[in-house]
Amino acid sequence: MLGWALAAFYTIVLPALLSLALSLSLWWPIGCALITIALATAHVLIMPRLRYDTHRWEVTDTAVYTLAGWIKWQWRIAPLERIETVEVSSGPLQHRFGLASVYVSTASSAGRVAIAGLELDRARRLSDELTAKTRELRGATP
Amino acid sequence: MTAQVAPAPATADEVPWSRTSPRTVLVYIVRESKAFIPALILMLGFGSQSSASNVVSLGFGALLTLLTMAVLAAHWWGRRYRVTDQAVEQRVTLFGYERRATAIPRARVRSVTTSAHLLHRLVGVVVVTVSSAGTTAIVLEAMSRPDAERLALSLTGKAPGSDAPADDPASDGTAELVRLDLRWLRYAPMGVTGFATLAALAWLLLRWFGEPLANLYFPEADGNPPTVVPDLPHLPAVPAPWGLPWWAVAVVTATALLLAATIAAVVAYLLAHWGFLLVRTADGSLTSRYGLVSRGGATIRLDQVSAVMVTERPLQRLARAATANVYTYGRGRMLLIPPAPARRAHEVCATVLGEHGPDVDPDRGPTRHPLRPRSGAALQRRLVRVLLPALIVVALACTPLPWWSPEPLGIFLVAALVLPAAVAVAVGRHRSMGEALTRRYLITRCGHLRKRQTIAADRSAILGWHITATPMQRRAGLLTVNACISVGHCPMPDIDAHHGLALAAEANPGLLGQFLRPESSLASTEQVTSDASTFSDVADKSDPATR
Repeated sequence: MLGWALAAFYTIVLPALLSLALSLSLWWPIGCALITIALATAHVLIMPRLRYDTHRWEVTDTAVYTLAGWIKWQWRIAPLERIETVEVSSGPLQHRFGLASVYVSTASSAGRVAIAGLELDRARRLSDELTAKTRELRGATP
Repeated sequence: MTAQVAPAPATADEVPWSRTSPRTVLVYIVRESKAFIPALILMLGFGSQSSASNVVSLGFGALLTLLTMAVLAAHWWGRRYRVTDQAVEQRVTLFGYERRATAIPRARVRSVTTSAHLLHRLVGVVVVTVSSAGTTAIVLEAMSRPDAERLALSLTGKAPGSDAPADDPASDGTAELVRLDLRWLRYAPMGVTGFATLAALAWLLLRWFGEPLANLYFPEADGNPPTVVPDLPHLPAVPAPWGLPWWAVAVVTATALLLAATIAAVVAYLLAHWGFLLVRTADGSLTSRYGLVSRGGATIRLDQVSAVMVTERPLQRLARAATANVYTYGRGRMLLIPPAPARRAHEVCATVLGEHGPDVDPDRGPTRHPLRPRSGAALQRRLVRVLLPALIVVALACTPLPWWSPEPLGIFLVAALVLPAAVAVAVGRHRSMGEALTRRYLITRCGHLRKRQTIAADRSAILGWHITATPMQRRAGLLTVNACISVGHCPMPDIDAHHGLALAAEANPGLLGQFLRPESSLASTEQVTSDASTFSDVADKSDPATR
């Protein structure tokens, strides 16, 4: 959640401050900047909470399932049998807080299943578990 | 594989890396220069009159051009490939960094296909795609035809498209499925090029003749043209040639442009599809050959076919024309039929899919299977989404602007034009959408203004599900359910939540069902596929009340 909060801060608040700094000459850019800052603050306060509340994931014996989003919800389901790659990735922000994301891709070009913000250990264990289960399922079916 | 065509050296390290044909750079340059046309027009059309600034902008343009050409040349220079006795390898470097290294072991090479766009044909090269059994592919853009044939020969033991009979279907078990019929040329101007040209035409006419029009209908007391928004740059006024009145010039220009667009579309169709031939060979694969200047071809195995898609552009739909593509379990894709009568497109799809299962009408095929329409809630959502922008337009028509004074007649005309069109679009979109689940296929249809696409995907080809819900959809009890297949997905926007989930659960037994709460799932109570073995029962499932 802190990760999302920081991401929101960097993507929304900094540009707002920049535009404020650039526009000290006229009154209407300042008005715009103030509105942007107000919206950005609300965004920083509300969005991470909503995202955190929404995000769910589950791995069963046959499938991996996630729910993500804050305004628009997105459920993604991938059968373990069809998994092509499992990737553990930790960006600089996530790394700072010892977190990582697990990305699961199938042969489809329609996008991957992402489980964001796991503790690094947990993510690695999950990745191993998914790989093992996939191998088992693939091995069982000739 | 014979020794003289595959000079396989002893170790991989000895094989030198090679680059594709330098003529590729020409293709790159011409292709990328399309992006500069708007900038060029802007420079020529709106350029300031002072010569100093013209020199500066010309210099800047030249610098930009040189830089772009250098980058494109580097793009070609940085791509190297080699074929060893173990694998095909490609290395992509850019400014000294190795960006990507791909290798496909010889044993995993599934197909080698060649293709050539118009530009490739003009400089006499073909793009070679080496596909593996999985999803990786090496694209070599582009090499001369003999080189490509040598490569394909050394990898697969046969030249690309060599399974196809030269021009006549042989008698040894091959069946000709599609052969280009010159009467199909009438569908060429109805494609996307014609449509885009029409839009560009309308824009241009407005740009050039907007002022005379405004003069005619809103003359000011002193006869001067009404003031134009000062900030908007506009094209220099065109002097009426040969003393013709402006409307005659408009009609002549429009006719000429339409004619030019039609000719361009027909020429493009001929270049791309000349001699199009699709055959099913005795060993169970599909092979196509096509092209005027230089021929392209592709081969896929019929047992690898996972889905077919029928695409209808708006104008083509009016003329009952369509085009069709086939997809494989990998990332393979092949054109089944160029724009042609829709009946033929559906027929070839049905043939390519093979055995349809008992609940599909053999005369209609999966792509013409009766679909279940969306609910009234979905129609409501379509209407809201189109009417809101339309109402904003009407509201704008009520606002006085420098070049527009709101008068009751004008407002009425705008509303009478915009609102019915909006409703028609919403209803058309709603009627385009539908889905069906048969024993073997998931069939979805969607899209209206740009193109309508009907996809019939083998249920075993579904690689997962993406389901989204916006707040408005949640309020209306709707979902967007997408079934992921190897190439993109089968979209089902605004499907009733219960029905959509039940359908997804039934299409892939044991996948989605385990995540549904019993009370939210109707999978047990609502059977999406008819148990009866006739297609008519499935047709009855489409609720007539929601039509």
